[in-house]
Amino acid sequence: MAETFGVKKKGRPDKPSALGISRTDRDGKPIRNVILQVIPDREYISLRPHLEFVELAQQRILHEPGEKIEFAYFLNSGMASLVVLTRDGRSVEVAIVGKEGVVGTPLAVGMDRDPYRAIIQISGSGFRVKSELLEETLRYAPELQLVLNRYVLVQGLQVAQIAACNRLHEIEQRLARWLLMCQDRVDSELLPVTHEFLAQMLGTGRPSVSLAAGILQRAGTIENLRGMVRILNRKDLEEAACECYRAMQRFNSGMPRKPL
Amino acid sequence: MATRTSADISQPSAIEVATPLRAGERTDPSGRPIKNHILLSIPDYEYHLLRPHLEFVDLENHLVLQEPRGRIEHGYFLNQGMVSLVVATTDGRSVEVGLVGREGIVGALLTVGLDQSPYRAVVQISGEGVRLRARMLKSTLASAPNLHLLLNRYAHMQGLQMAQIAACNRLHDIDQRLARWLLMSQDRVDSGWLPITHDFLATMLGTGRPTVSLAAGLLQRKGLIQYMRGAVRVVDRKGLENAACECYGVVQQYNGALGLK
Repeated sequence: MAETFGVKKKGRPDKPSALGISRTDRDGKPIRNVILQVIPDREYISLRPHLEFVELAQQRILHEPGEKIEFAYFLNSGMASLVVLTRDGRSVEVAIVGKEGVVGTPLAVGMDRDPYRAIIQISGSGFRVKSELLEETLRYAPELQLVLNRYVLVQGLQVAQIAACNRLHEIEQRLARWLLMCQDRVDSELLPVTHEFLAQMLGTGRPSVSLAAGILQRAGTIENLRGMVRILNRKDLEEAACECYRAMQRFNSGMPRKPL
Repeated sequence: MATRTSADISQPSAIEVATPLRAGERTDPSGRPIKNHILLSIPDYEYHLLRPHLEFVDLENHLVLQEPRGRIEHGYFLNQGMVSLVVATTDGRSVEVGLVGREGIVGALLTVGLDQSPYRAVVQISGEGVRLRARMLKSTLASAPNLHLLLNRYAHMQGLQMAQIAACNRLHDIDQRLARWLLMSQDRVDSGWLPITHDFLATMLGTGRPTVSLAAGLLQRKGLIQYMRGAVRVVDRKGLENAACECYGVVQQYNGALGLK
């Protein structure tokens, strides 16, 4: 089965990760974020007191474009999107973050804002750390620094692929790609997303999304439910997606797969 | 409260390195002046570590520095000219996702220990620069923390640029995108004439040649650009800025934090 950042999909939530590491935060909550799993013990221990568990409800905004980034969020479950908003009120998603990553990458390079809205797409939970505390920890945590720097670049590759995809591929292919990327991060066949919402992510109108979703439904690939999309046949969905899905999976293999 | 948009980002925090030297205050081993902003911004001792390994290169138009999924053999610091990062799809189409000039490096992935690039890096506007073997760059980074930080920041900025292009590719019209592209290119070269064909522009903008010609004709009739066989000149820069989408301004701000214009 395909792996995402070395973590097997469909892993039961209560088991330790496929990395064989069972870390907890200061309240005993299990850590499933891959970055927090791969860093060495010494570095994790120095970060641990600063981690604050947070429930991340759908639509919660983690930061707005140009706003000072107060916290970095290491997701444990669920999914966040980075969205570019234009002046005429339109928007399009440029990157997706799940438990493989972190929201707040500018902090890794000593900057404190970015031009994205970071918004929770699929509710979940994670650990947040105050930006000053992260920066302080980074001074003595070279492996965490390296893995964050690497994540910045791997995310850049994802963004570049989405840039090409937005221009070159049809809405059905892009919708299929998005649903796959989403499913990879939530381990569920049921994705709680409306067509309205998908339209904002894909930078198109709602009717185009409904049309594309209808085509995928008639082919028996997905089922459109009220406020949800159910994936019926993942294999077919992979066929329906553009090559960008596979390309982005490859980029992820650039991240560490085992403890550093 | 008014909604903030991606165009409203204030200037990112400035890089806390010493004021860069002026072009020519450093030279490569062959005595040619260094104009690359990263190489002019690092401290002396770090530059001295790097210098013996720098190799001068002429960058001719359309020279491919990296192929998609090929190994990255060198990091290229441009002194002059412009390189495009292009994503090519299996059906032979392509679109530009990033631009590198003397503010940056081609091969930023090397700084985090990755050595395969998914893009094609191709010289758009001929120029020159210095290159450094991948292995050498990696080994120097360990003893050059300022260079390391600058390269990581550059990588981050490049990601922001790409994100804006991702949005632009989806949301904006071809004449706005063409204007944006011409401005971004002109920022990276010194000459008024940009040696570019419509075919080439079509590849960069991920569209057909007729569409580009139509858009270029529109900008020419407005007196903003002048188009000749194989070259474009910006006539009215202010007007072109007005014709471009907001993405130009957004990307320019990132570059500002890196010392480009």
